[in-house]
Amino acid sequence: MVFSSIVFILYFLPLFFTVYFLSPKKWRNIIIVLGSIFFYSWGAPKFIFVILFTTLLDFFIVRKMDSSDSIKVRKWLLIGSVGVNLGLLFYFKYSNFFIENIQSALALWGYERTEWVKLALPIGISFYTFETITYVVDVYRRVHKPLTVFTDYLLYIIFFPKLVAGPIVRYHDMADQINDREKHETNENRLLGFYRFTIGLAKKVLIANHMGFVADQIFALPHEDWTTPTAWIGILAYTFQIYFDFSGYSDMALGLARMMGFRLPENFDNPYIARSVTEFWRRWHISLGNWMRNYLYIPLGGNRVDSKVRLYFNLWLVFLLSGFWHGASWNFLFWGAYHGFFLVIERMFLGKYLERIPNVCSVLYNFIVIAIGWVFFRIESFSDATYFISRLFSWNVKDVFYLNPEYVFYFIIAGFFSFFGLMKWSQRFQKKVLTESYSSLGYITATMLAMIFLALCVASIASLGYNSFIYFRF
Amino acid sequence: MKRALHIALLCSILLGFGVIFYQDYFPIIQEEPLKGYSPPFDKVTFSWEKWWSAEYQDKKEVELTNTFGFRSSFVRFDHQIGWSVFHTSHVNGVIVGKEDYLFEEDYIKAYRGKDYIGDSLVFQRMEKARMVSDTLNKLGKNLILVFAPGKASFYSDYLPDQLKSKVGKTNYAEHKKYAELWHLNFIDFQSWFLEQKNSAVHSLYPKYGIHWSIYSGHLVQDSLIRYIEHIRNIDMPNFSISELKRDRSQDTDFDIGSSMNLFESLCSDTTAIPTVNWEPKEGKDLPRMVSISDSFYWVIYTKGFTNAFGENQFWYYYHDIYPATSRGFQKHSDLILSEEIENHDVFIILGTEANLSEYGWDFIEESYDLFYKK
Repeated sequence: MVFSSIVFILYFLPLFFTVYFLSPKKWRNIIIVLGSIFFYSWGAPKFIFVILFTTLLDFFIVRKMDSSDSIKVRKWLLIGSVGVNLGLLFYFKYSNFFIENIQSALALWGYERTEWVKLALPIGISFYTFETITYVVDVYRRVHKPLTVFTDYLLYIIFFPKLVAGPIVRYHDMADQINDREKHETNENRLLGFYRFTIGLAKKVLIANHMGFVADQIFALPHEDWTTPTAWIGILAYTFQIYFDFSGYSDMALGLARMMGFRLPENFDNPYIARSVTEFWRRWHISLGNWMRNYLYIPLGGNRVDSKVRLYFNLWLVFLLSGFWHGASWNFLFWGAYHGFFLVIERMFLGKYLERIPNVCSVLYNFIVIAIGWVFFRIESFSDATYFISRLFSWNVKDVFYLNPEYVFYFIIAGFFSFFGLMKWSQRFQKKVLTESYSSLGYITATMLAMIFLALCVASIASLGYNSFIYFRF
Repeated sequence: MKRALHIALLCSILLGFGVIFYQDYFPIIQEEPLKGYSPPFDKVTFSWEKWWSAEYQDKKEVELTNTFGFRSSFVRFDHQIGWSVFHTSHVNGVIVGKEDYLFEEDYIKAYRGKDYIGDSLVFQRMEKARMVSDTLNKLGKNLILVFAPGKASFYSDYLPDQLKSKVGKTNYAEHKKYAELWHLNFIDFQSWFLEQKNSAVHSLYPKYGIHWSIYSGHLVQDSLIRYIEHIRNIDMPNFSISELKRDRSQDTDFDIGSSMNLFESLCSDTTAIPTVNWEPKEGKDLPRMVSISDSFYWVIYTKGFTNAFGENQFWYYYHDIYPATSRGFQKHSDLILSEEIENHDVFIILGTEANLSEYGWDFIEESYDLFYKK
């Protein structure tokens, strides 16, 4: 079930929250768990058992680990838990990729390909596997005590607002809220959460879907129709689509969680105004960046390694793996390596120059690098992706993709809100709109606006039926 | 005070959802159904088997998306915003031209040459058509190629400026080139329509329709009958127009317009609706005819064209057969082509500009194989 579907907005959402709000407080966690199981089962009824099984297993492994005083036992239990979770992730997400590539390699040596049944990917496995790891590792590091009630742990893993597309919430950040969020369970937060949800929905349905429609049409064109202006329209449309799609989803997740009194960490902070790729990754999918830093980069040695070569290698490796996390294919690996390359050269020398040049130039540099990187994200064939990029600079202006006035409008809106953070007052404005409480008139206005946006989104979904989230693939 | 306001606002939000929910199960307002095509869906009943296979969820989602309360109004709201605010159409593949002329995207692609299939494919197809035509002539039968006009070509001056330029050869020009070169039986209504465009008393092509107008469809019928009479040297039933009534565009003259699904209907233009009288069939020649056509044929098929023929069939895209034959055939795959060729005298292949990339829809190739690949 996706957040921007009719079944979620008009059926699941009102029914769930009506039951949730009317229930006694002591039942609310159970209602969240049941709602989340239903939410997940709606799209993947069989895979729910994979989550339930691994959750149960991790719960007991971690309790055993916490109660043990032996460092050796604790370490083996850590390895066991992480191994099971990464093993499942590898099995479901990467076995198709490796079998395919091994078969291709063997075919070069004259071996015949054998048929195998491709595995379906359980929705959100990449997200909840990482969350499980944070639980195991945080308890291992004694950052936080483990949960004592299984359903509380299940709630942390299966909490439906963030289950299928994040943000990746660290156990440490959510643990205390599971049993003590009373002070946040206010009508004010319910309203503010609802506003945030509709903002996210509008970003997804009104902006990302329109941009996606343009991008889909352009990327599906015959290659000879990828003239320079058309290719640029396509790449810009996809660049905006992926941002508003994913950040919209995160807004919806944060809003829904807030309606239940939870505070999830922010996942985006105006990424396209970054002045370097390094800064971009502090603003884009922040929860993944944090996870990578805390659970991969630091264990690899972080900044405290002996040599610069090792530092650069670690940095590059983290991004390579980050690319591979996004998808089991060569183009995602390349995309990760591509980002890693820019991070390394910025650390080596480029960062210093980027700090010295005017903001406009460094923002433009980052935006172009990121946008070109998205081509590998969007086009699965590596040769097609490189061909597309070559068309960006072919200076063939024979024909231009037709954009009707509505798409032009949404391009302007997408561009405005992508670079909105560059204005001095914008950060304050965003903070005020998204997190702070309003005056009475402010609440009335915001509710009316939220209902208008909701109606516009429902109308658009009903009319277009164009609605899949990009990040659901991961 | 503020707490009461928060509760009131939350209740109003839930009430909004509740009204939609209520309308779904106990309709308060009868909504006008949406026009145009929407994929059919079945109501699904719950079973655990369907749940585990996710069939229940998939079908239920489709069902709820298509039946939720006030759905028609929401769709109209979305379409109305597109039209009123941006002057665009939210109907799939429809582009709004100047002065509100509505175009289907495929017709614009065809006009611009964006769907050109290439020299060799056109040559091969038309060469086969020539050979099939030759064989049919020897058998006392006729193959007639008919090029129906495309709206983008007819109203090219109303296209958005960015879509006016041609980018290469067009299927229409290339098919016509070989038809002329090899003196095939063909009628080029594209050129004829353009020639008559400025002098025609009534609209030949509706502003809000996809096809030629009902009025010009009658002119097409007349031309086709006279052409068949000429090449077969026969006397077929003809018709005369007894009355021409000007009315708001409707039926096929307003097919894109009605699919726009706006709260208020488009300010429709008027078209001429003829009343016709057919000559009696007695004493006339009634050739047996098959038309292999796209939807342009519907406009003349439903307006009496078959009165001029004996046994006749309409092979819609060379796939579905109308009317169902006495032997119950409804798909072309049920037919034995050699028998059908044997049983008919005239074969019309009618396609508009946007469908010329698939012109003949395999009829030419299969007939060629029948005659020449033994």
